[in-house]
Amino acid sequence: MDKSDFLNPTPISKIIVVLILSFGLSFAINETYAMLIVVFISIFFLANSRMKTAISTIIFYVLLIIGLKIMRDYSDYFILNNILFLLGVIKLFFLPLLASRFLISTSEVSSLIVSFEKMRFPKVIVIPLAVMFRYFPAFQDDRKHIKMAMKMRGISFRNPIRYLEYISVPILISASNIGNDISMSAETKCISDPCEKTRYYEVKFGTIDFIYVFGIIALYALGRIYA
Amino acid sequence: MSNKLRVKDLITIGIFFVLYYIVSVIIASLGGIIVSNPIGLMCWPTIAGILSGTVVILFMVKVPKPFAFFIFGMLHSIISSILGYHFITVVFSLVFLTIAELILRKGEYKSFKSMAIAYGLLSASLSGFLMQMFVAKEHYIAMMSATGNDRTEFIATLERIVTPGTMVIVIIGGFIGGIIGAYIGKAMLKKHFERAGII
Repeated sequence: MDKSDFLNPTPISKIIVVLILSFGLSFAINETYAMLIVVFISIFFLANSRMKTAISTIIFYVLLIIGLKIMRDYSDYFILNNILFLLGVIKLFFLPLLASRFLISTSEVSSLIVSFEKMRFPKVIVIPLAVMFRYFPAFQDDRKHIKMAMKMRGISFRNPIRYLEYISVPILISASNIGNDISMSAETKCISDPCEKTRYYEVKFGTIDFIYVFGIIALYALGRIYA
Repeated sequence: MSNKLRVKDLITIGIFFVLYYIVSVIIASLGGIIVSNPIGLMCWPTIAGILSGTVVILFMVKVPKPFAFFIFGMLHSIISSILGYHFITVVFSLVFLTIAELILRKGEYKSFKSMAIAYGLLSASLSGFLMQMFVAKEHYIAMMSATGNDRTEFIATLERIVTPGTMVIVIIGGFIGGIIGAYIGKAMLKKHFERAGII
């Protein structure tokens, strides 16, 4: 996109943050600081023109916390118990998932591939990962189309097995086709020739990377201290 | 068709892995009522095995090359450990997937029976997350309690239930689920995909 993306950290920094937050899962941190981390990352979403995501994340997290606090008192009721557990798991993984969402939705695939190459990952890892990052959002779009097509033909949830069949087959066929398209386009750009490639997109570390990574580290450390 | 993994195959691995991950993890946890029960949690590998059969069998037929399945399977545990699970799940999957790869090799990557067994092993390896209870108990319990509510009842039940014996049952359950899923996949393949010319 435009080169003046100085508010977007490099993919490597984003990956580092995901790793920090996920290793930090085994230690409890202060609730306030967890909330601050959520807000911190939301600010980054905002800075990269994703206001809807930023606001919905914060609202979701606040509702999650409130919901958990309220339902805690009702943990005798069976169904509420199960919902409570599900919410608990969501809250548990919230920070790493939020950081991963930031990574996936605000990184251009080209910059991702360049970062992986910089870190000298073998091709066997770089390509599937890059494809995964790119395919995930494309799959969401596909889902909508298929749901619409099914509605038009009157196939509903009433017969679950047939429903699954009618969903899975188009998705798999479309996946195969997308795979072929991507390979064709990649081969045209000479991806399998192990020569030195010129990259149009450069990955440079900037101030925003330091702010992002050290901000998270600081908030997390403080959260641990006040745990 | 040469036997080295080409870029086209790596791309196929990426795409089909996304589908596999979505089915096995996301759909299974949307059935949250199932997963939020210690007993339900034990059934997850089996259910995931049955549901994701089609995706994985189609993948295996599309890329019948050495190490394709191995990479495909390892991605699952690698991503889980990046997202916060313990490293033991990777080791666990490594064991299962190496055996699966050897079996596939014996079947020359074409025999359906070896594919079914390999996929069964993959589903069995999904039970790796339970290994955490043995190896890294404090880590896992801390993870579960860090949800902000002390589900002590859940954790106590979990501790009681997860013994080496039940672990074996979950693994076998996963394996059986995988075999069932594989045969479902084979039926789907015959019915739809051969006509569509994907294979």
